[in-house]
Amino acid sequence: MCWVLWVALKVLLWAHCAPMVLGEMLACGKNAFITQVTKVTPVTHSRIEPPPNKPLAIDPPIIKIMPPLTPLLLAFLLSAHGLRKKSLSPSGAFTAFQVGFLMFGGATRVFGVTLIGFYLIGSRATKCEHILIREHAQNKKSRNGLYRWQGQKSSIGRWLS
Amino acid sequence: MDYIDGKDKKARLEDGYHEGGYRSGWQVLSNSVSALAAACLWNAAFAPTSPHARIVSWLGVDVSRMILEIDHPEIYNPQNWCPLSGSINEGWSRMLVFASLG
Repeated sequence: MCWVLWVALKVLLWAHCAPMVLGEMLACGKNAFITQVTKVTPVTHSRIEPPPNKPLAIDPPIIKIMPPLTPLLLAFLLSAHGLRKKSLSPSGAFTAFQVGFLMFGGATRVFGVTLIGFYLIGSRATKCEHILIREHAQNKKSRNGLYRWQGQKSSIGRWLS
Repeated sequence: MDYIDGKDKKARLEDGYHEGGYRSGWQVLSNSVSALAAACLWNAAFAPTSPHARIVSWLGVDVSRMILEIDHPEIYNPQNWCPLSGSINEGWSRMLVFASLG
């Protein structure tokens, strides 16, 4: 399972990194490339039609199509973690991947950070509850008579506060 | 005061109970649908380069005009405005961010 995750992660990384590097190169050399093309185009267009008034804009479509790397990685890691721990079924992991990508893939990270924050707080709260229950069960066994009195006292104090 | 172990109670009451949770897709979606809707609306309205805005524009829906009823929405720019600002975009940005918190 670890190997499958590792290979999937590598494939994802490379599938994203290669177009990103290409996009960076295209973006860096865009101005020089445009000036070269605009110098050439009047000559070529003059034979067929007059040169266009608008400047030539070259937007590599690959940058627009490819989704960002960070949301994909985070959504993949969170859903894979849930699937591995059996807290998610395969359909749950798939849905969590989609939800995670949409939450992280926006212009602001506030939604994704909120998602992770609630997820982690919820997990820790569940563990904390289990620890409290275990401790109370041990206390109940060790001092059975005192436990009931303390329980009543704390419930009254909580009601008063 | 008796402490009831919710895990044991859930195992007794729930059909097809699994130890780790084993939540299905519908359960995941039910837990996150309000935050997801708020995030999608926010990004579709104020971030035209986001995947949400592309999906929504592909569906032919103008979120800012049809749903939020803002004629000229200010596009999100972290240097210019904060998502929690109440004066921007008629307060819709702040409302949607708080809606994502539940």
